[in-house]
Amino acid sequence: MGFLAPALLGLAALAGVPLLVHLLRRRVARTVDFPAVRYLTRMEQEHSREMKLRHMLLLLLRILAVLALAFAAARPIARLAGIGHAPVAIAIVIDNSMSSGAVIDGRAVLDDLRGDARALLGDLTAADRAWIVTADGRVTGGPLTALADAVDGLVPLGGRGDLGAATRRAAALTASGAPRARVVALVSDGQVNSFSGAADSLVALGDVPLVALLRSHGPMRNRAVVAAGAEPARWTPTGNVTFAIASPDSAPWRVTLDGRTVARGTAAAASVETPVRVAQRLGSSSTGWVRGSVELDTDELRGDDVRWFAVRVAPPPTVAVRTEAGPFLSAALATLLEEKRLARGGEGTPGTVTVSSADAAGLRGPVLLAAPSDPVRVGEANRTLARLGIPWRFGAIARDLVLTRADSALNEVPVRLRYPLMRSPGNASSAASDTLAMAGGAPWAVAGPDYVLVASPLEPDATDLPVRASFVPWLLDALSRRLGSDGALIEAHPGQALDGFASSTGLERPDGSLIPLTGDRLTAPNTPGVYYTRRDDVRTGALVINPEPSESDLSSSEAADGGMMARVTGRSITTETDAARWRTRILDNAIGRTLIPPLLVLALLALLLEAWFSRERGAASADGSTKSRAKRVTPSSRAA
Amino acid sequence: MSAPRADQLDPAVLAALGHLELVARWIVDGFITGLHRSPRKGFSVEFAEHRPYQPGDDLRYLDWRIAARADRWVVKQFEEETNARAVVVLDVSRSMQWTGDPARLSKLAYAERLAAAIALLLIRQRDAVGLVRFDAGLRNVIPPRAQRAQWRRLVAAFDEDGGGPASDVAGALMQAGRIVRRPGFVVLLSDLLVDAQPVADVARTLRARGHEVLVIQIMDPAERDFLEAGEALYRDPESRLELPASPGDVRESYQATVRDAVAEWRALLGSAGARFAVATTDEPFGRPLRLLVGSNGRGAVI
Repeated sequence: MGFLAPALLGLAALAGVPLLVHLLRRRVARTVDFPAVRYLTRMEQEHSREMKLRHMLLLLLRILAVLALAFAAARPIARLAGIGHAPVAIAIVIDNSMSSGAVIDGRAVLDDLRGDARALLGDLTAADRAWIVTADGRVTGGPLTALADAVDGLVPLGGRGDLGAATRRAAALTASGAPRARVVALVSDGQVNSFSGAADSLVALGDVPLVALLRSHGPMRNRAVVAAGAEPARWTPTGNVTFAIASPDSAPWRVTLDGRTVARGTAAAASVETPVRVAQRLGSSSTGWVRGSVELDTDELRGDDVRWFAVRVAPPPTVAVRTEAGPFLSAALATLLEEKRLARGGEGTPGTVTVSSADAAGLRGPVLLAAPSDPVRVGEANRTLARLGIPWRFGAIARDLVLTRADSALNEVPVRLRYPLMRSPGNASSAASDTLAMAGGAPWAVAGPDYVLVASPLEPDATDLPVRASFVPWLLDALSRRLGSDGALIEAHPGQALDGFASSTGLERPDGSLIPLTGDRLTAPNTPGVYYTRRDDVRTGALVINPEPSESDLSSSEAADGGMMARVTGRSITTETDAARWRTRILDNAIGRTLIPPLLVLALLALLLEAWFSRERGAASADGSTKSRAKRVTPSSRAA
Repeated sequence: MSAPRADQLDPAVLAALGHLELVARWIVDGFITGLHRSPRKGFSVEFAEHRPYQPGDDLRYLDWRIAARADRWVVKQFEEETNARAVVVLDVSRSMQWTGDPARLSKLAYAERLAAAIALLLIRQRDAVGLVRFDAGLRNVIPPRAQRAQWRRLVAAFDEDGGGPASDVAGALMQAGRIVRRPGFVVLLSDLLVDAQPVADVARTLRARGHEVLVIQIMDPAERDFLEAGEALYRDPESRLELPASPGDVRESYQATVRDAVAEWRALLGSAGARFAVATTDEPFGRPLRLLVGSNGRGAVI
């Protein structure tokens, strides 16, 4: 038994009032002259036992009424056998991931899920507390009508969402509904991807029971574009579009650039795990950021029939190569120049990046600099950095073998000689995003507005980077995006948390409207498409939102890993496939009911009894006196 | 519009208008007016007038002198003889001095005015009236007299001491029976907060001697209804007996007990041949005065 408003239990102290009054009556301070005391005495002699019983009964009835009202005010709930249910704190998790947008027999799966949720809301009462939690983690609370409206307004997400996080959040929400019986109700299409992923591979619910309704459906023929991208990052103005298509049969595809179809074809049948990969060499007549898509004919699940990509179309970056850059850097740049990925420019020409060793004299930004080969030249190199306004300095030489740590191609690169980078005095608070890689606990590669700086000479004796296959693409990326005007290309899934937007002022939607950005973090929009980051009126990068490829696999979770519920742990995890049984099972977790109505009835009954007994006693006294009068006709002496 | 009759006015209002004697006269005047009666005439000792003789008239009342002088046969008619003797027995104990509301007369004040009116009424019809005042003992014993000055003696006795801590009703009644030598009329005015049986026994004795006995219980409305508010310790001013009670809880029982007690008095006195009535201090004096008239022909004084 619990109380929804336990503070009001203090009202039970009022039960002491009738008791206090009763006791105080025994200590009467007021004395009144009353000649007819002999009548009172006689009355007591005749009615003493009845009066004591009546007083006691009235006292008990009054105390009972006060206690019942106080307990009712505290809104007690109890698990009692019988019909109805005690108030529940229920969080309904609706899996509105992209797969819920599939249409089966002319009806969207999400419509069924919404219907199940609405039916469950219909079983709830005002004493219950409920929330709607969607797969993207959005929470709706409030009265049942508001929740029903929220359910009606649900649309499929553009991606998988994070059902695990949503379920964990739902379980946490129910805690605020205590002492109601807590329960998490999950309604899902049971798609194999529902609970997958590293972050939510295991959902621990503890004591909160979970009752899941997995709506099974037959096998679906889903065609999907599971990957799409442009290579290289900058087209000059040609490049490749590579994409992957999964389809149970041959599927016609088309590629568009800026809304114009530029290629068509047909892909053979393939599964999601081993899709057909297609590469198309294309050229763009537009320049700047170009929005592209790979499209299939619409089928039951339309969310994965289009996949977006973005490419920067511009002349190749221009570079000026100093001899101090060393043979490996010079050779890599010569290759890129030969392939026309780069163009040679004059040092000091606007937009031309100078590639050199940091100890070279007369450098002007933008620059891509490596540490000097000769330790003696480190001082000269630091003076060059100071002259260029670069807030980093080379530290003392370190010759131990370390591996770099980075999120890019610079990860796990062996380094044998390095000059750990240190912030120059007065620049200690620069953003951490300037660091491209760490080595031995110190920055090894950093980037800024007009510079890219590597803490080792780009020679095999110092580091393996120049002899790695990833060296040339990294170099081209650094020259075009870090030092050029290409900006960043970010690929993400709907709802994914992103950061690194501190320098952006807005996000341009595909329809051209603008979302203001104020912080470093951003939650990826739910609608797939190509968005552009902007700094004022200038596009500084592209954000490409596509659904997770695994979301296109519409097979049931029961076939994988023993079902999606295997990823959920807790005291009570129940799976149902029938909606009625699902609702029954949910409310079974709160067998019993609120005790307010019976307590109010009890209080009312006590008060009615008290009133009735008082009146009835008076009438009975009058009747009794008539009868007793007849008996007392016989003379008898009565002591005062 | 006729002036209001004093015997129908509120006792407290009437008492505020004048002295006890004056009030008693108003009461009696109003009461007689209400009766529409004139003093009865009959064969008594005091001559009233002559009337022609008719066959059947008692020859003792034939006026022989006129018959001799004028040869007319007439008989003498006299005022009816004053042969009734009455005693008013008034309880002046401490409990009679109580009133439940300062706006009302105390039981004693009410009883004194009622006694004065009764006495005046009887004296006006030439009956002899006496008075016995008592509490724990006899305070005043005034034998019955028919003289006009008797009433003033009776009224003057009301100013004497009283307020004793008990009421010897039976003793007072017995004393009243002693001072009325011939069969007469005894009126007891008391709150009767005593045992009923001894009083009934004395009433039976008086009835055996030929006396008419009328017992009027003077009761304050608060004693009847117990409308006192709140829990209190109730104390008998005579016996000092105290008892806690809550009128709200016991009122019904109390009123039933009072009804029982009154019924018991009525039954006991009735069986003894006495008449019994209750007069509350908030009702006009006319109603208890009418008890002197009687409706069944028994015990009528006027």
